[in-house]
This record gives sequence, structure tokens and C-alpha cells, in this order.
Amino acid sequence: MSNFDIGLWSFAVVLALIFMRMPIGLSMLMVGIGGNALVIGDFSMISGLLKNLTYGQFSSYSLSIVPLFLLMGQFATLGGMSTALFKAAEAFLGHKKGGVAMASVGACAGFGAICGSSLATAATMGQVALPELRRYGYSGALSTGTLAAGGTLGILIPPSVILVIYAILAEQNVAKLFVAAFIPGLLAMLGYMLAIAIYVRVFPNSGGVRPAVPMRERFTALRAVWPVLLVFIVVIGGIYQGLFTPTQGAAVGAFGTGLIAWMNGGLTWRSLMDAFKGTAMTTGMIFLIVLGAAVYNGFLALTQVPQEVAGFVGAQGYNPWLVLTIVLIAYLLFGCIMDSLSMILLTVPIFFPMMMLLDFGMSAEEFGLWFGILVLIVVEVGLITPPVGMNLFVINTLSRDIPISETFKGVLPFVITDLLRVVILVVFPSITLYAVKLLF
Amino acid sequence: MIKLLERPMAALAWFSAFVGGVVLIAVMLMTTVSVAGMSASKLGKLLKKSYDTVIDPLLALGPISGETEMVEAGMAFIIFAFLPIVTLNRGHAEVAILTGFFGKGFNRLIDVVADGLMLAVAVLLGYQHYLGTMDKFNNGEISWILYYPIWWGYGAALFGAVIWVIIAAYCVLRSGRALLTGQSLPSSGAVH
Repeated sequence: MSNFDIGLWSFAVVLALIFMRMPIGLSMLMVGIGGNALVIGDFSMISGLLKNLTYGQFSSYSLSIVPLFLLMGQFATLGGMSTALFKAAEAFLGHKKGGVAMASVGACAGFGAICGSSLATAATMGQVALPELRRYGYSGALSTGTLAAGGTLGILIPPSVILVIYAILAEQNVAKLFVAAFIPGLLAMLGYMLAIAIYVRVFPNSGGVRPAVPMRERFTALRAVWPVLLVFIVVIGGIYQGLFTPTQGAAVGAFGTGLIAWMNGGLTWRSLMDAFKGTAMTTGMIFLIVLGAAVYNGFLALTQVPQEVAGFVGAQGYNPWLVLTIVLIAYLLFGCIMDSLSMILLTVPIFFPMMMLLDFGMSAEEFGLWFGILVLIVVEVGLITPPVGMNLFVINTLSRDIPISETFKGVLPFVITDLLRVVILVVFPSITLYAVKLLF
Repeated sequence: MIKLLERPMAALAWFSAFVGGVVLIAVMLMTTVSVAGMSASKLGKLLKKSYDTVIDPLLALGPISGETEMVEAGMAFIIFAFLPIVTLNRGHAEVAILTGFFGKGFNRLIDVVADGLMLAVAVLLGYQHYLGTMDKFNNGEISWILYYPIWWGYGAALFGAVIWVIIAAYCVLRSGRALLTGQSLPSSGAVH
């Protein structure tokens, strides 16, 4: 068996292990170690590598953003900012048809600006918005669907943990990726609002009515949102201006949200312990996958599979747009069964060099940014599609009286807008790249 | 016997995560202070250059030297310290879609295999990391900016690495017991 064959077969083994419910990071790690030994002939190389690789990965300065952003998300959850955001959005939108649901989406987008995780956004906003939605007579399907979909804004709107990982894998500039994600994130929010507007007109019983709030009160509610805005501007603005590195931005953001949470009385000794636990659980999970992917990708590079596959696809003269479509569909399908981060770590090292060889009529850097945003969106769709859309289950645990089948139904319009948005962003790359061109 | 270990193991994993959390807060504060110092010094220079105003305290400030190196060493410690609690609470990302069709007994067998492999990997990574630490200790390598011996960072990370091995070993016993007795494990809570 040639090295190339070993590399190809290793995919099947990794997938088989994953489907046998072995932890994903563990699967990649083991196959990476075994594959390396097969290619080299003994364990000398990999055991030498592992002396420094684990420490090297865990102490990576670019990855140090991840725990800090996760801590920031935990603090943001404690700081009562979710309530302030929802109240402000509701004051402006609540009286419209489907307005409370739209307000939930708006608040999710706002929360996404200080939280880099979908699940945290869905869970936090769900706690605040679900009772209100039900109080104003919104149907279970629409309420839970709205919040599950709204949660994905947590990761589409920068900061975003997934984009940090993509940036490292594809050697892209994180600050530019954050800027590139901004307009697609806003489009997502508007798309979700539009979906709600259509939904409540097609199913008039699904949304209730809420009296309008006087203008004065609206602006009072809006004022309570300033800490969120301040943190977002300082963190993202600072990173983009080059005032500080993304890690420094994340540290300052975590400090700021922690301070706000403390001032609001949300940060107690007890809740700090919970914040530690939450941060530890997600950080540990992410870094085992990161380490596994590093070992596995190191082995793949030995087998030349990424280069050969890229060269093969490049030489066939396939239509680049067709290849892109197939890749995106593959992500959509896999997203239904695998978590987004694992998928990105497993596939970007293969797909990215392959896609880079295809000509989409843009510079390598532009392509890197555009492809990253497209991948980010398609993998996030997986969070709200059955059978393992995690956001659906998070929201479902918050609303036990609504059957999960209702949630599946309710989220469908949002999935459709997601798919439409992907098509729009594929056809018009300038939507994604506009902000980058403007600011850099 | 295994049941008796439940609380001490939970406490151990939790202690590890707590220490990691404290270090994370320390890294956050140190970085924030460094950014503040850097911004103050930039402001001082700007004032001097544009308005010819000299504010000595501002000019005296600056970023903390070796901040990046401290972040890196701190992060390695933090991540190692966070791994035990993820393993204990079954928080590693996994795909349960296919195995959902299999019976409970088979799934318990999968748990034992997965926990066994996790233990093997924890031991391997921990041992190799220990060898790496000894290498750095013996070759006396020091960092670029702060001149601290590199093995300090490596050695500190052994804290989490050792606890991870202990917790992973306990998890094998726990799932082994579940397989034999037919009791169920705490449900896994993979998040992403």
C-alpha cells in the first residue's frame, strides 16, 4: 500500500471511528498517530513529535483567543445584557406583526456581537425571550424555531470561535475575517426577520399582538444596551485598527464583560465557578479536537493526499463553481450529523488547498475570506437541522411543553433563508468582501 | 469501591478546572493591564508629537514585557488543566447518530472502548509531554524575552496532564462497572 493509499484509507477509518461514537478529537489523534507510524515504518517520528506538539498546540498564541472569547461569552451571559438587548429590541419591534419574534432575532444578533458561540447565544436568549414569546401568544413552533435560528447569529456575527480556527487552518487574517463576516451576519438577521414576517402572514394564528411602546420608553430601553455596544466597538474596533492583537482584544473583552456582569450583580462567587466550568468544558473539548486535527493533518501531509487531491481536481478542468457547489453541499449534509468545529478541522486542510487552485476571478486572499464565510454559514446550518442540530435541542430543553417535532417545523423557514443567503453570497462575492475592501 | 471514588474524582477534576480558571483570569487581567499600559504610552507619544504636551507618567508606561510569552505558557497550563473535567463529564464531541440504533448493552461496550482509548491517549500524551519537559530541563533552553527556562511552562502543564490520566483511568472503571452492572452513565453533554 502506497503512502497515498494509506492517507486515503485513513479517512474511512476516522469516519468509522467517529460513527462508532468515539470522541472526534480522539479518533483523529489515534488515526494520525497510527498512520504516521505506518508511513514512517515505526513510532520514532511521532513519539518525537508528541514531546512538543501537545504543548505547542495548547500554548499557541493565536489559539489563546478561544478560551478568552469563551470566558467573555460566559460573562456576557451573567451580565444581564441578554435582557437589556431583548427589551430594547422589543420596544422598537414588539408591536409589529411577528414583532416579538423579530425582536428576539435582533437581540440574538446583539448578543452575538459579544459572544462567539451559537449554543450560548441560543441558551441565553432562549431563557429571556421564550417566556415573552409565549406570553404574547406566539406558537411553540415559531418561538422555538426563531430562537434556535437566532442562536446561530452568535457565531455568524463576530467575534466567532469558528472563524478563529478557520483563520489558523487557512492562514487567513482573523481581523479581516471578522470584518468580512459582518455584512453576511446582518443579512442573516434581516433574512430571519423577513422569514418571521412571511410566516406570521401565512399562519396568522402563530403570532400574537403586543401594544406599542411610547417613543420615550423605547429610547430608555435602548440606553441600557450601551455596555454591549461599547464592548463590541472596543474589541472588534481595536482588533481591526491594529491597536491590539485578537488575543489582547479577547482579554479586554472578557475583562469588560466581566466588569459589567459584576456591576450588574450577576457575577458572584458561585456564578464565577459556573463560568469557569462552562469555559473549561468547551475549551477542553475544542482543544482535544484541535490537537487531534494537528496530529492527523501532519500525517496527511506526509502522505501527500491534500496536495495530490488538489492537483487532481485542478488538472481536471472542472468548473470551479460546480466544485464549490459540491463542497458546500457536502458541508451541509455533514453538518446535519457532525459538529461544526470538528468538520472544519477535519475538512479545511483538504478542501482549502484544492479550492485555492480553482479560479474564481479573485485574489487568493479574497478567496480565503469569502470561502471562510461561506463555510461558516453552511456548517452553522447544521446547528438548526435535524437530527443533531444542537441549537434545536438546547431550545427544546428550555421549553419542555413544546414537542421537538414542532421545533423542527418552526425552524424550517429559517433554514430556507439560510440556504438562500448562501446562494446570494456565492453569486455575489462582493457582498462579503465589500466591508474588507472598505476598511483595509 | 468505584462508587466511593465518584466524589473525590469529581472534586479532583473540578479542582483542576478551578485552578485553570484562576490562571485564565490572571492571563486576562495581565493582558488587559498590558493593553492599558500600551495605550497610555501611545497616547503620551501622540500628545507629545501632535500637541507638544509632555505628560511624563503616560510616557513612562508601556506594555508588560514578555506578555505574549506569559500568555502562551499560561494557556498551555490552562488547557491541560481543563481536560480532566471534560473527560469526567463526557463532554468530548462525538456523533451518536448511528449508535442510537444499537442496544444499551452495545452502547455501554462502546463507552468502555472509548474510555479505554481516551486513557491510552492521555497516558501517551502525558508521558511524551513529560519526556519533552525533561528534554527542556536538560538542554536548559530559555525563552526569548523573559529568559525564563522553557521547562517551567512544560513542567507546570504536567499538573493537568497527570490529573487527566487519573480521571481517564477512573472513567474506564466507571464505564466498565456500568457495562457489568447495566447501570447507566451520566449522560454526555457534547457542546459546540
